[in-house]
Amino acid sequence: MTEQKAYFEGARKLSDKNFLVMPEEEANTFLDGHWYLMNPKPTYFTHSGPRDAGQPFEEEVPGYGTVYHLNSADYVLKFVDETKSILWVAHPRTKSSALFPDMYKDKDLFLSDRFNGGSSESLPVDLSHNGCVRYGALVGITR
Amino acid sequence: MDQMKMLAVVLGLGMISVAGAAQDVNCKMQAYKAVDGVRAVAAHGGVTLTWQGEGQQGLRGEFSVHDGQPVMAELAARKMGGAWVVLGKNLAPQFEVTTGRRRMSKTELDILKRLKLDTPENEERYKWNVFWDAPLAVPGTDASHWVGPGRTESEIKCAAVSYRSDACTANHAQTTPASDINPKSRDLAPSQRG
Repeated sequence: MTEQKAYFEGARKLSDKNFLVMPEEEANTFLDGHWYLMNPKPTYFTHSGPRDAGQPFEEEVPGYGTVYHLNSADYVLKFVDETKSILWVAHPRTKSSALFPDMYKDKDLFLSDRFNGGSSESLPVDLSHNGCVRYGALVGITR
Repeated sequence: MDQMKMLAVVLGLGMISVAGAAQDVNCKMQAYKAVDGVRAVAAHGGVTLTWQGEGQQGLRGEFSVHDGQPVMAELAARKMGGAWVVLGKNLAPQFEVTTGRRRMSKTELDILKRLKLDTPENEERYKWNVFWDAPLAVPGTDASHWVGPGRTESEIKCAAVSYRSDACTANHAQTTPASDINPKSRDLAPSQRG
């Protein structure tokens, strides 16, 4: 949460009325493959490390306000619904998302309106290409 | 004008200047039918095409054969009513192919195994989406993502097209030295790895 707080403050400092920086997180837990999460406003959540069995979905933490604790795919969907956030598959069909989102295309999370597609970075996707990232895009996926 | 567009694409793939004597090739024009915007005229050693480009520009390409190699003997352009400006001479299409062996990454294979989908068919399918592969890097530097043995020089093949053209035929507006599209008149010659 300390890192998230610095992240939010950094984004705020870099933003003005003409240029907006929105923090996002490649969370990569609870779903197969890699995925991104973007909140519409600074929102604290935990998604890694050991989970206490009795840990609540959300709690009030002094200095941070409401903090969400994600521990399953169901909680991820609940979280994005409650916080009006979006998520998408990172680098679809390559690297650790090699078979995704294809393999969860019929699951609730993917079918949710909160699942917004994939970010198709040219990583480059093929190391037989020379050079660094050539382009990036957030694209919708037709369900 | 589709034929001309196709022609432009083929010539745009790569050209080198060539030296050599023009062969005495007479272009067969019997099957040629003129169409609007493109004109083909048999010339000594080949055929000359003229067509209209953008902005009323005139374009002209002279095709012939040099030592069995189809060449664009001259490419020229002019503004409407202006003098011809030569853009290039003795331009030859050059095609080279380098092939290697595509490998699936350990990350992808682990996902297939976890989903119990690690069949030879899936490995063949998903290796083409791999990120951690550089088929031309020998032996490579990313062994942590390799599946199977490292790469070897023998996996990499290089080839270049060579020609043995001896004829020219014009068909409709698509005028091409006949041997360009006759598999018997071309071959792939191994070349040194570049």
